[in-house]
Amino acid sequence: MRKNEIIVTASMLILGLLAPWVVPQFWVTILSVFAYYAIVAIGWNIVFGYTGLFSYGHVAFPAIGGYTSALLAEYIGLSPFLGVVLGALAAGFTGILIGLIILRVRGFYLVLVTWAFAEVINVTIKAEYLITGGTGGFVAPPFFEGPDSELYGYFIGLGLMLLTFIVSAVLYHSRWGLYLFATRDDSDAAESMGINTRLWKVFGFAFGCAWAGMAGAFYAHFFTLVDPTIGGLDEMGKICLIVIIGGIGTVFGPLLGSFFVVIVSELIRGWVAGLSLFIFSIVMILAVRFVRGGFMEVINVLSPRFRDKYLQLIGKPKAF
Amino acid sequence: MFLELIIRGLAIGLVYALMGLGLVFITGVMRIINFAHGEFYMIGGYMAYYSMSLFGLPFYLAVPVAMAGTFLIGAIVEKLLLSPIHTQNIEEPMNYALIMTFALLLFFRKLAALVFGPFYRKPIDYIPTDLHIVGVKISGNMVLSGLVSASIVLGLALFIKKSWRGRGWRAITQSYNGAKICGVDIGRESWISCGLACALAGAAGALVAPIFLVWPDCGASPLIKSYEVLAIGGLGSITGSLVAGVMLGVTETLGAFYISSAYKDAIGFVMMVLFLLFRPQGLFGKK
Repeated sequence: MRKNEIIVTASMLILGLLAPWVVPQFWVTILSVFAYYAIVAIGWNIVFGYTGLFSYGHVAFPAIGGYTSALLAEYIGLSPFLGVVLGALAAGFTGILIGLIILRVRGFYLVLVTWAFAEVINVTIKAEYLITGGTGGFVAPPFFEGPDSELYGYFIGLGLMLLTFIVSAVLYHSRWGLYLFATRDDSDAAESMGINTRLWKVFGFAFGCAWAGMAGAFYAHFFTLVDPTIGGLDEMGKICLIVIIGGIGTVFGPLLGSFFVVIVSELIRGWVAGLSLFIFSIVMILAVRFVRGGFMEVINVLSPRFRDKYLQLIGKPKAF
Repeated sequence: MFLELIIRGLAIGLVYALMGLGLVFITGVMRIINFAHGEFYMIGGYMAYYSMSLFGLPFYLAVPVAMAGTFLIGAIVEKLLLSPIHTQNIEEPMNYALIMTFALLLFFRKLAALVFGPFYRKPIDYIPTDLHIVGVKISGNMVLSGLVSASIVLGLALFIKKSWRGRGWRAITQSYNGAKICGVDIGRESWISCGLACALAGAAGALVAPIFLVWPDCGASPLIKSYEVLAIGGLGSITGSLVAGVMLGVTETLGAFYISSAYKDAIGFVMMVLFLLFRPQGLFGKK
């Protein structure tokens, strides 16, 4: 990890731990939603940004993780903490299977296969309503019983988000990350350099999906309800939007994007139903049209200028 | 019963074929993955509804109005948003045009929800009586939409086969650079073909509006169907999309009746995935 990543992680940890005593109770829930979206978006960033596989079925994995954990807790009384781990594992193994299937297809056929997978999962959850509760959702136990369960759930979400962030940052700077980038940028060239591109494609896909599964299990136990909408198209739109306006293939992008999306959609919630996604779609169109890199590109362009200003202010010569 | 299911599936399948043909067309000529295809279906449906209810047009004028409207919107979208960013490279995983069409999907859907409200709209029946075909009773709207879809598909196929412009489109589908060398104006053909593809979706939406109704999210299912038609029929094949559409419609209707109506949408998906895995070029596509 680089210096700025360590700084961001530490400050997020401190701010996150202080937050419940500073902000109103209501915002603790919003911050937990932020943690959920950040984890899923980091997962998608690993799949699309790092590995270059445009998976359109990423939201199926939170659904798999959430339902795995909730169903196990209901039928065999599994602890929610083990459920989070098992949800991640279930999503990861499904990711390996789908990853092996999509090795056969390229380009936009990949989009179609992952999309079809997500829809089949969604249809199955809705159709098997005797087991999964159908569209009404399925009730899952909370992490801790009692009046403070929301607060503890928030801390768990914060911890999982920081864990995901640290892992994605370490992966970004590691040798494995380089294998993933090489596979993304030019599969044939990577192959000729001795990289097993098939292995790394499956790894990148399944690894990103496992985090999504973990996030789904967290969501299920935090809200004590999991319903098929977490695997729907609107959610995929949100994830896509978060990563695009944050910055594809960057470490900070998904965090920035999810913070922006969750906070802004909360602030404008009261106005008109469905307004937030409408505004975000306009932001997304403008971002794709004019600023491809999202927030991270804006920061990268502006930051040298700010550094020069700052050095001028404190009276030091410009850095070279 | 069996015969009724077959005829019903045939009529639905022809509409699927019309939707799918638009997608096959735009994918072939522009090399773009258009996620907003279903939204033009929705816009077409709304245009037919409002031109009939507000301006009192008869249905044989409402459908062409819907087609013209969606043609314009499609052409404007291509000119303003798609042509500056897309790279004509369908194998490119980081293709921003795909993300752009996805953003357009959300945009149109939420715009429709804000402007028209989340209500189900139903235009006046095009043909209010039921028809009897070989002893099977079937609604007149269904027959009309099937027949008009089939004639539009055949007309477009004839146009692409015979005319100079159609020859240019086929050239772009085969080789982008080759067509450029031979003097095809790719920029112009791009927006024309994008508008045309959107107009086909709009025609499908306007035709089936009295059967399936119109609401802001109604483009989701036709979008999925048209991708299934594309994957089954193969890229760049008109015959393929016609056959695939009919096949999909009949299989789905039979599957919904004999297997389970809850899994009706999953049947098409499973067919699509099987085709993508074991015959990626589709029924009639070339490798």
